[in-house]
Amino acid sequence: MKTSFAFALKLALLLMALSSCEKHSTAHEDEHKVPGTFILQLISDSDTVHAVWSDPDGPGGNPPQATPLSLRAGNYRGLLTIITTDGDTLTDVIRQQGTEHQIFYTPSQQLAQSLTITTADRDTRGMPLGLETSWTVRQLQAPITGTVRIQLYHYDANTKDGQNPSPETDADISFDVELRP
Amino acid sequence: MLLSVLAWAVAGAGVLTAGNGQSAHLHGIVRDSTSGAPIAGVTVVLLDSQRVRYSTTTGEFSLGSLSPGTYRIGFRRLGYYDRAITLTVQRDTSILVHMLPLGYQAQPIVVEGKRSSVVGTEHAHELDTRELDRHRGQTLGELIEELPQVALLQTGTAIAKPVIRGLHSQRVVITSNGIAHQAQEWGLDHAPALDPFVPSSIAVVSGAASIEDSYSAIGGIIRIEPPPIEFHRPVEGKFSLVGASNNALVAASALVRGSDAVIPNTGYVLQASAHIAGDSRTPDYVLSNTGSRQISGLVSLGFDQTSWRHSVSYSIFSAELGILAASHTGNLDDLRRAIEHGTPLIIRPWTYTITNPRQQIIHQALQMQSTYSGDAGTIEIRYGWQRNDRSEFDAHNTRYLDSSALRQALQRPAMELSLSTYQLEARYRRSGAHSSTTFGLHLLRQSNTRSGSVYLVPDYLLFEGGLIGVHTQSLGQWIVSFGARSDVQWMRARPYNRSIGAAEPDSTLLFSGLAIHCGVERLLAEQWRMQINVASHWRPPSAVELYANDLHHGTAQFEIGNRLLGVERMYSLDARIVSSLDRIALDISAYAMYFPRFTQLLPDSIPTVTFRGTFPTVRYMQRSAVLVGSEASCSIPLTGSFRFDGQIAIVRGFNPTTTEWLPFLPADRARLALHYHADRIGRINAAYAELSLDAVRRQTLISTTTFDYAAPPAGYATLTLTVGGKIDLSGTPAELSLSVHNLLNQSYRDYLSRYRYFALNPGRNTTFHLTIPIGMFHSQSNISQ
Repeated sequence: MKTSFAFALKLALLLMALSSCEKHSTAHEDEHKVPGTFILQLISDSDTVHAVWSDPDGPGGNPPQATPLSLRAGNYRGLLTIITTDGDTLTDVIRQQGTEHQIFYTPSQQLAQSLTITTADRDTRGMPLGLETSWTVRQLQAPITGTVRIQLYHYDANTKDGQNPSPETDADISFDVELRP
Repeated sequence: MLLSVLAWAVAGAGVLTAGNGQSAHLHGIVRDSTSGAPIAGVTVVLLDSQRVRYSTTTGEFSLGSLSPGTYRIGFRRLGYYDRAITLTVQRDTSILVHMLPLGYQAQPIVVEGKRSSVVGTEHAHELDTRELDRHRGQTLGELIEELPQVALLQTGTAIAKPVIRGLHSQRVVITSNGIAHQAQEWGLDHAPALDPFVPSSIAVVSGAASIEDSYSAIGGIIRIEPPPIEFHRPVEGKFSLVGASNNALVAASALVRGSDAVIPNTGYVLQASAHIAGDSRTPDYVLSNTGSRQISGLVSLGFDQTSWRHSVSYSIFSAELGILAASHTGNLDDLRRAIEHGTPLIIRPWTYTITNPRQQIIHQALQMQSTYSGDAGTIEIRYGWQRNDRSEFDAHNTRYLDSSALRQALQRPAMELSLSTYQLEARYRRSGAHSSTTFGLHLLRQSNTRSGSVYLVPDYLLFEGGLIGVHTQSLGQWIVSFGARSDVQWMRARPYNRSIGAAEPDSTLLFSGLAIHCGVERLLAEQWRMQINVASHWRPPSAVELYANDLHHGTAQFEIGNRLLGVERMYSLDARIVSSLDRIALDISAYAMYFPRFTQLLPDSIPTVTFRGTFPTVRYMQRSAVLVGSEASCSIPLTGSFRFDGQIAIVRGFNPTTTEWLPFLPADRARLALHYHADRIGRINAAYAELSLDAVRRQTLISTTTFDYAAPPAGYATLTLTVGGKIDLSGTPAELSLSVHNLLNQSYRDYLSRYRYFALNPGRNTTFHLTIPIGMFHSQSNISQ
């Protein structure tokens, strides 16, 4: 009886000490593969401006920083570039998978009468995409400020109709915008 | 041993009534000899014949018609001494049989590697194999759902998390064969990784549970006993088949056990089960991507060395669970649009196929147990190893890769957690004529490894150690139980710092505490039994409560842990009265729990801005809390073969300083059932039919500070019709039941359903259960005294 008990106890203690049956930490390649920087570049005949939204440490941690845009009356060509937190550009991937994405630009209430943004590029099915845009700023008496919200939606195959958002938002950021006379 | 059991049979059975006739009917009631309460699920065997019956919840049984003569009848029930009586039957006879509970120790008990599922004076409800068989199918939660104190926190039909008296997750401990189940309990959409076909009995202990299982079981304990190894018995087994119409579920399970196969004095249990289920359906639409599939296996081997018994068992549970496609939104705006839309924004044709988002879980457990029984007492040594591998696949996050890597990336989980636990439990039990004493040692080592892009729970390593002492004494009409345990937990975690994009230096935390439980039980009159339990348990903060730091997609909130959290202590009082007057069974309980520091997620005034929009920030905080509530159930025999069952459960939770209600508590619920049973209808023996109404009120007591995306849904009532019985399949008594849930195919949403924002609860569901015993399988053969 005694030997049996001792044996059982020893066996249990031995198994307690074993740690070969557990998983050890492994690096994960996609850990930081989230959009970290959005660069919006606006080019007119006489003016080139750009704004940067960046959150290099990803969601949480330090809050994101965004620089403002200042626009004059006239027409601008807009180009959006998205870079991941680990430095890869996403713009080409979004263009490649254009039928599954669309970017919407929405000026805030204050700007709505004075700023019009239209999509200038198309996906392979001829639907608007939104990496390239046309901005029209009307003549103003006095400067006004507001925001432009940029929303990137992801669509399941064959659900993009060019007009409606999808149930899934992949990105949703805002820039402060000033319109000057 | 057997002789001493038979000695109990000498205490006679009172013959109550008699009639006349050629062949005589024999029926009766089984009652607890100490409390007088009827005992359900007693196996009643007409010895020397194949006839086996079970007592109903009112303790009634019927052995059908017999030709006049002398019979020996055996009675067996988990938690009671076996009884055998000899009876001469000449006319229709009704008998009253009393069974002596194992807790009453008129003589020393030799525990032969089996424990009663109910300990001391605790408030427990026990479900036996036969009751469980009627509900087996997709999840473990369904097995205990009918108990009044249990509600289910559901993420579709595939993920059901038990809620006991409003508490769940880390606050409810599930034990299997005495070892706590360790499986990332913190997640609201993480169901227990346990096969519903495995338990041979389940005891649900509410509130102040016996200190022996855990110091941290604040809400309660779900104590599962896997199929026990039987020694020196012929091969027997059980085959079960389950089907359900709503999600086209097909489940099957096979169990075989035997002894002395190759080596003498050995026993074995083999079990395998599997299920596949497709999308659930509401009355109006398909809940896309809510299918599940699961495959499980269990092997147990035992060796009987007279006073020593050894056993080893290995089990594996593997499941893949789909998450409702429409519930996986990108940001708060998506969530609001999904809620405003009223119906899911993604509805696809019905399928068995599961796509992202989904969960994959593999849970393995190895248990070794040695029990020594001698005159000086019993020694139990249980060792358990468990590994829980959980992978959650997101529909987001990994998408932005070039197309060549995309397919590969979607195969990788967004969150991968691997939890390994080693546990050693040692117990010494000593029983005297009127008392029993237990001393115990608890040791645990647990490590968690995470990978992927989600930082809700860090890598950590923890050790636990504890000393346990429990004493139960019977003093005349009283049973008094007192238990205390002292535990210490040491944890080293490696939290991730988002601001610097790297892991922080390891942080080490130490928690310790004393848990105490004191209970009394008293027989008030012949048929009244009263239990009062007072306890104080404590729980160290979990890794997620300390270190979470990420967006929780399921809730669209940014969750931040709090490293300053202290232990959560609970003081509780639970009073219960059980009675059986003229076959009317009553079970009424009331409880109160006070938490000086109750850990909960509370909103922070500063939202979190991310590339995906702005999310509410929530932080783990501790505030005082009070939970009070009551459960009541009754069973009233009506005329003939009808019976009325009713139950009601109410729970209230609030912060005593702000008088703010606690969020997400189960709404008031009631269940009314009309039950009909007959000895025989055509070819069906022990036939029964039951029509039940489950009514749930709208939850009107909601927190104004805790953010919820939608108001609690309206109350509802659903009907369930069940018919069943035993049919004779060429000599084998097969158990058969057919039930229709949500009989009227009503549209409703449940407050505790995590899909209520997006979709209705499932519609009508017809389920079919068939259980065929193989050999002499007795579902109640758990006691070997």
